[in-house]
Amino acid sequence: MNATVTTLLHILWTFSQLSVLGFGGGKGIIPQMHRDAVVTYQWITNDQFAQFYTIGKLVPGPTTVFAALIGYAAMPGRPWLGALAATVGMFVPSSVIMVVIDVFWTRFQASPWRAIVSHGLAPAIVGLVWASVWTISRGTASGLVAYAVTLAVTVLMLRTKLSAPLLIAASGAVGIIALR
Amino acid sequence: MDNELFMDGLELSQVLPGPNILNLAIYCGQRVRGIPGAIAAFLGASVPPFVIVLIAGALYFKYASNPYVHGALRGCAVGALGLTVGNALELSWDERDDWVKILLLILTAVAVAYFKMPLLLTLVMFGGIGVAREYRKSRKAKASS
Repeated sequence: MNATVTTLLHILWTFSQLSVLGFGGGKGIIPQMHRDAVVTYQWITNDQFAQFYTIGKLVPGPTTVFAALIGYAAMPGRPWLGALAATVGMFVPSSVIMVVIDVFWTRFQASPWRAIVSHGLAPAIVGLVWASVWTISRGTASGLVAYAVTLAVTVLMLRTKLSAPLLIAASGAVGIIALR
Repeated sequence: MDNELFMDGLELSQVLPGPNILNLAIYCGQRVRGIPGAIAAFLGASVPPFVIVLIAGALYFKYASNPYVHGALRGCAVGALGLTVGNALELSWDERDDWVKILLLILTAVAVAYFKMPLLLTLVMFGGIGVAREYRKSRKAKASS
């Protein structure tokens, strides 16, 4: 099997697993995605991971679409193919599950399992989000300016109605001046 | 589609893996036109973000080495980190009524960030404990009613 096909299969397999485990809207998969893409396969660096995640937050639609960028970087010879494979892996398996479960859903309608599963998984998902904070911070700038911007964005997000892309753009402006 | 059906789909979208918006779009497509509707909804909700992120990515790989773009990207990443911290705080606040949940949350974060626990094991173990507790709670509620 040649290298292109091998990488392609690795990409598909990696993101398909993340897709199936993407409970809570996919918020919890960031640490595992980092481990696969940065540590295991070394497709991208820590810094790239943080920046791709940022692009994912910036563009409309699901954040996890940044998987495409990891696929893009993983296949320098055929970046578009890599991006497509990553996106198919990321979105198709969970979507198939959605379609299949929906067919049986009406039968479960009165079942208490829906609340049990979503409330039961919540603490683990939130813990995974905190682990994501740690993961992302491995690839972001350090120093007083960086910490101040992070803190400011956190406070503004919680206390005002400013939109996420606006806050990211403002942080970018600070970065041009102080984080070059 | 009526309001009740929509809210039901929203709940399902949140319980199952995958982005909520994408799942909800698929649900709506399926209710309206069956499997072809679901496929159309899938494409409609995933292709535009894919194209946009690819354009952003192509620009990234072309210009990331420019010092100004590099600075902007580093700034943006710090901002995205702040958003994630805010998100984590908000979600943690929702769990505040139950100290066992807070403990589970902290243990999960430490196990994943520090001990590198794989995602599947994390969900089975800490997710499993959470689900088992909710199950017991619902059994008790049923028994007492």
